[in-house]
Amino acid sequence: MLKVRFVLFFVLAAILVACAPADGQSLQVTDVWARPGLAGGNSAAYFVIENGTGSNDSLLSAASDVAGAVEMHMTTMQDGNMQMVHQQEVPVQIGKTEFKPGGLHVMLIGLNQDLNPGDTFSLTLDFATAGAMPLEVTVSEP
Amino acid sequence: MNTRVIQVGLGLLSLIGVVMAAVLYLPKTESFRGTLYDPALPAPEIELARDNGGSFRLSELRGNVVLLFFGYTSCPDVCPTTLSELRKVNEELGSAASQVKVIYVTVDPERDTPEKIQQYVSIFNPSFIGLSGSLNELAPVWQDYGVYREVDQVTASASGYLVTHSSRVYVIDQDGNLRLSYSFGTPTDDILHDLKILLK
Repeated sequence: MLKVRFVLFFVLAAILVACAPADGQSLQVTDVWARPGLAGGNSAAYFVIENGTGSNDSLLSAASDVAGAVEMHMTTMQDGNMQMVHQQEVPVQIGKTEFKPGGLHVMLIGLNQDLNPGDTFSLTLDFATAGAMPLEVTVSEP
Repeated sequence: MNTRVIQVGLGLLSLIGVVMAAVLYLPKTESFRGTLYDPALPAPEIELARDNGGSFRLSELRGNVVLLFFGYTSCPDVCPTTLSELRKVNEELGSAASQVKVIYVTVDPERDTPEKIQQYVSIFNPSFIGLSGSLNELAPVWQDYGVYREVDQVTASASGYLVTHSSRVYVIDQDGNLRLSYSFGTPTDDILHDLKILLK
């Protein structure tokens, strides 16, 4: 009986280890923050995606209840002028993809509420391979 | 012949000595890190209505250093990044901040009323001044400062439309002269460095 329990324990442990994402071999999103903003206005969310899966992925969309619409945009500089370009999809290659001021950002359009420093709200990123990833965003001043 | 060589040699040595003394002892002029207007140009007047019913005239800020930036309140990335940096500059100036005025002029008068833009800049710092007006009032201001501004109706976005615009910060000195400008992303330390020279 003791031997059966012993075997069962190891089988369960092996299953748990197999299910858990091995460190450094998963897709992780860190440093998630958004700018303060006024209800009715716009804001932007930023984060860092670490793709350690060993294969390229793609960010298909972002969603949140905090704003009327959520879009992915890229700020680009052309002849000294800043232009924003709507991104239907953002490639997430192996390694680091940064959403940061002056570059890629998630645009929160038509805020449903004021966003004050310290507030938090949820944002879900939908990846082609990794699937939906819910995040907690903290409002902060850079 | 030998005497002449000695005379020329001594003359050259004296000249080198004078140049070295000048380099070592003459007061050094500190150089700016921003893009310099050389010569400085009188800053074109800006006259627009304030949110409180009063009027704004740039020339009334003589005696202060003015940091001037053009943007719009629906801009989620570049404009708030720049305003955050100007807030940081303002904070790090300490008591000298009272001699520096930050002015934010809209490039989107269709959506930005004087009230809306003032409310927006006040989030960053209540002392910042936000200005708007009609297209007819603003067009000459954009032209005077060489501001490129174009409504992008092509990019499909829930934001309605986006505005492509130049993103430089202009510095106007205490005498009302356009002295410097900075491109987007200039380190705040560089702006602080230049302001401290102007405020001396």
